[in-house]
Amino acid sequence: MGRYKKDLRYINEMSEHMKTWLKDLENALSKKFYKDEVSDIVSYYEEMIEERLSGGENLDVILEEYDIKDIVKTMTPDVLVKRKNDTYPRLVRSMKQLLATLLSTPLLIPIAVIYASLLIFAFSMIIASFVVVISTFVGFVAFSLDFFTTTLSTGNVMVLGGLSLMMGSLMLLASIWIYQVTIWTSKKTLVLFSKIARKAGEA
Amino acid sequence: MKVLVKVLLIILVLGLVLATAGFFMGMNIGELETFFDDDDSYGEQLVLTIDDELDQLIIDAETRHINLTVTTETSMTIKYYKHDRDTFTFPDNGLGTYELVQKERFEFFSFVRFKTVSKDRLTIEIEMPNTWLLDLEFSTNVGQIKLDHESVVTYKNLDLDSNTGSIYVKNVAIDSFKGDVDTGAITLMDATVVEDVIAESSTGSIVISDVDADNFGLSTSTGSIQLSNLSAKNIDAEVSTGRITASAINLTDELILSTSTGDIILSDFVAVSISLSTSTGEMRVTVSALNLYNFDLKTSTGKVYVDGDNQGNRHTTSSGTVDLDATASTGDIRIIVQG
Repeated sequence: MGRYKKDLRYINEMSEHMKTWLKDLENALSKKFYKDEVSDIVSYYEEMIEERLSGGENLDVILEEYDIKDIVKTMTPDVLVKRKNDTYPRLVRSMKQLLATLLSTPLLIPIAVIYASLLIFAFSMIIASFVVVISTFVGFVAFSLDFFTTTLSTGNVMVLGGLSLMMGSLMLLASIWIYQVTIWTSKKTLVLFSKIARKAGEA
Repeated sequence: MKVLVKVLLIILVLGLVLATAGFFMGMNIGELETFFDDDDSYGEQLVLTIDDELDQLIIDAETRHINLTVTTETSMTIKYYKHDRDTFTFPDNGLGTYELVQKERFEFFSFVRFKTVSKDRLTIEIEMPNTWLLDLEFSTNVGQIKLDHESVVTYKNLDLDSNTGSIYVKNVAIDSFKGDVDTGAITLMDATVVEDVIAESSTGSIVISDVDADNFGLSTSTGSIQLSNLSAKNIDAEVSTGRITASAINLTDELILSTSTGDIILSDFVAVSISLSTSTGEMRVTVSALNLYNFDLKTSTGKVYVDGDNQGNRHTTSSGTVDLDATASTGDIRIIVQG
């Protein structure tokens, strides 16, 4: 009976230890990842630890092998590859995380420099597309001021009006397409560089 | 975003249809040209006539070119066009001085103009009697200052300043020359200057040719300096990023040429001492004979070549009478003996 109680207390203590560790892992992951990503990683480690426990391994030994900081670092590229960057803040956050991960590994610093250069290029393209939009509106207003204060024949009014509408819409379409292509390229680049970081981590 | 793209595509098609319909309804190219031409809004040319001889003429323009020519008439005429946006004022500076100030009212969309204006509408034309002797003080923010004469015209002092335009002066006899530009070039040709020639430019080049003066002080940040056929006591030319080319230079004192990122090419020169320096450019100095000079040539990572021979990165001699110091950081120094 005494031995049974002792065993039960030991199991409870072990279970508490594991819960605390998993909570710590969850807290550390929550600082970097979204809720669904955190719960996926926590479940993965919970399953793995339970599997090893049922195989007769000691919990303390198992947990000693897993450093929470390392887990967060090594899981980052994996999470970034899978993450759906469907909103602009998510994409920006993923980019920042990937750059930080690349910079934190000395071997990956040249890759980080290349990635940072691509980010700067992408940022410049987005700024350029916004500038095109603003200048189109300013140009359109300025042209309209000239257009409506000048007396022209009906044919010329139609030609100039038509051409200005065409130019305005083409400029706006071009800026939208530049923006979309830049975002699409940024997403693809993010996945590509995340894969490179993951491979480097595996090696 | 998809809806926006669709709306824009519809506007594009609408514009195309409208323009095509307008074309077939009788597009008038002549009228369209008028639409983009703003000359008419400058009205008739205004003419000022000044009969009394002046000592000084000051033109302070914001958006005008300034062009001065000489005439055999006895009175001076100043011709210009005036837009509604422009104000021309004539501050009283006392007897013998005439001042014209042109300002343009700022309009919010004035920086986006779809209308063009011909150059003559934006030029203040001055016709000066060839017997008058004037101090000229011209400045313009956006425009060129031009004193291009067929034969020599005498002035007292020239003080010319342009922000985004260039300065061009040819065939003058003057007491002194001061030229200052930000983004344009300064050209001074065929001139006799009693005192100094001072020329400063930020991003433009400086070209001085066939000029006699007391001293030359020339500097530009990112342009080049070209000097040819100059006589003076001293020349001090300084460039940050650009080449200096000098030939046919006759000085009674010192020649100083320095550039940070650019070559120095010097040939056919007379001076008591010559000091040349560049950081990343090459130097090519053509001399008539080596024994005329006390050479002190040094380069940090380049090579010194004298008459084709590699002298390493330092070469000194003391057999001549003219000191020629040349210092480079990463460029070569080449002393070429004229064949």
